Amino acid sequence: MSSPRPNITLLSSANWSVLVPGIAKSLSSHLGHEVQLSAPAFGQYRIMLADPGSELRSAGADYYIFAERCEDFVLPFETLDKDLAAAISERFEEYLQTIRAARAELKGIFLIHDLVAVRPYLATLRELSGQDSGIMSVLREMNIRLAALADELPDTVVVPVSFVVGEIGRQSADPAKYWLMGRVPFSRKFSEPYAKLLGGLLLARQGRTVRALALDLDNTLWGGVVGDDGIAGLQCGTDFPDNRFLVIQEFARALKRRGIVLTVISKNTEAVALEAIEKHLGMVVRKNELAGWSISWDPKPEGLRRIADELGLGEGSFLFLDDNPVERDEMRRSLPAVRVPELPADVSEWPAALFAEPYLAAIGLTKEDMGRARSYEIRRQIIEQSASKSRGEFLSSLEMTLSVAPQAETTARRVAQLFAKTNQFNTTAKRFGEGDLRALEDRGGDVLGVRLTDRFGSDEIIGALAVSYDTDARVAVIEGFVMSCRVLGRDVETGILSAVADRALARGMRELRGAIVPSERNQPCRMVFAQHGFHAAGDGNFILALAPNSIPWPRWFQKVPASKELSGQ
Amino acid sequence: MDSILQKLIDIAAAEFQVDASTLSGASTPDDVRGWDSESQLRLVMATEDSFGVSFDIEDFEKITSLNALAAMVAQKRAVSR
Repeated sequence: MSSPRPNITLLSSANWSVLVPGIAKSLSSHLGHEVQLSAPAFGQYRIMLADPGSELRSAGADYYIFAERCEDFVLPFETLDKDLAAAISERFEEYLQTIRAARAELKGIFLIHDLVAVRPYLATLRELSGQDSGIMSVLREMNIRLAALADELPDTVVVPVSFVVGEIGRQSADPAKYWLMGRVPFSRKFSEPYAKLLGGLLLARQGRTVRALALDLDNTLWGGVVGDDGIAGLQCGTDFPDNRFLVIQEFARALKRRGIVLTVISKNTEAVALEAIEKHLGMVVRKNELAGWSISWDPKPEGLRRIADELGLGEGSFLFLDDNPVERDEMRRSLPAVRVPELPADVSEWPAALFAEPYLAAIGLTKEDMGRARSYEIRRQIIEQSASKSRGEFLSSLEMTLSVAPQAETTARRVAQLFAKTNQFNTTAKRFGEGDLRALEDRGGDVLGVRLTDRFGSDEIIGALAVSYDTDARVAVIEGFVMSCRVLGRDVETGILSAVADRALARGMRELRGAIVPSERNQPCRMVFAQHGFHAAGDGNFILALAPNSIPWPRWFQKVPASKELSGQ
Repeated sequence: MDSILQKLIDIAAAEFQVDASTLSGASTPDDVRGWDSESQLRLVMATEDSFGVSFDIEDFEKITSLNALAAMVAQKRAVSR
């Protein structure tokens, strides 16, 4: 669990201390809590990293930002002939080696700035396009190597400052005389968009980015008010000005394909509004793409709370988009956890206003992200259908398979993502980074991924466990158990614990233990051990004496043969 | 002139991390605890952004007090009009 006041250390050969206070303030405001951002005396970090006794080594920051820039390797106006290019390449390799060596010594997340030219330089057009060897081709090559390093090392992410410079322009980002005066790396104008990017990155790592959009209908997804104008009177189509509303619909669908669930909150008569969504020829978002809706005359905060409960999401998981500033204000006041960005009057400008919105940030996407919206739609169907059959019969009809197996290289990223982002079904709230998980495996422990498939075509990793084994005492301990809340209601957790118990027994263990560490949001999992025959040993510890079939396998899951390792993306 | 000085005092208070009430036009680097070369750099950068003026490297050593800075801002604004 990241500390309430994350400690971020910025390592650079330039003088960031001039910019640090502004960045820290902006970052704090995006995150909703204080951060501690510091940059040790510039230019000295390499010495400090190499010295085991240094403050830098012992302080133990949560994040380290490696912030070397293009100009630290390629001086402007240098002629990039073969010899110079080779020297630059070597100097750059030393930088990468410094990071690699630091990764072995330091815990915490590593963030590495990518490289972009900010100070003025000379380049022919062919050098700018990269067709001829010059600054652009050199930077491109260095960025490729940097990205490869980030892929190679655990808990390491590239921060694309080139994106920030692209957004504001090289001239705006150039520190100009301040570079000459005090080795200031960027202009002040760089600070705010940089802090926004960094804020999004930290939110994504902490699992605090939104999971769902709550969309208004009238004058948001279409022009006009359906109750007054009727379906035929609504503005929504491919010709201007109707196409303004298509922009936000396409934006919403794109977010859906990246794992953000779509919901509607509207003050309307439900039947009328749903008919418009289904029947209007211009609509792009249809009812079957919505995970839920609340269409009534009740205040919108109540509607959002209802949908949140239905979907098993917290209010803080929603981003509320409404053209009406009064509705936005009411939502902010009633449900302060909901993200309600300020929006311009013209709906077609919303994607620009939401561009680089930190609460929509994502570091990378997995197959599970892209399938998330669909599994909520399926969940809605399951709830609708389960009324008509007996529970066991119904669950069997889903034709689910469940497998609990050691993570493979291909699934490690998804497993790490689950440990990092799951807040509700998380028994110990312990944030295992990729480094921690590897260390556990090296000690003989298991990092298990849980894969669930059903007949609707879902096939995803929806849970993970970190299990350690004490072969002397013959005790297995579930150090961490995380699961996606959207699969609750199917006894998946029973299957998981059954498989973990069998694994432990097969390894000669006599006892299986687990702990529940209550956190603000992990209410859904607090009884999981007690409900499966574990004995409460006090202080949140639970113990199960292992015997064959101590936890019976639910009959509606087909077991995947043990020899099949967890595979897939 | 007054409104320039007032705005500068607010900017300086933020950059020096002191209360605005402890600053005045007469404040100098010697009087103000948070006023060092680094925070002065930030003060000048913030002043440039805020007033849309540009300081030369030679100007820096002339910033002996907030009054001096305000005067420079006024002069630069007059020139650019």
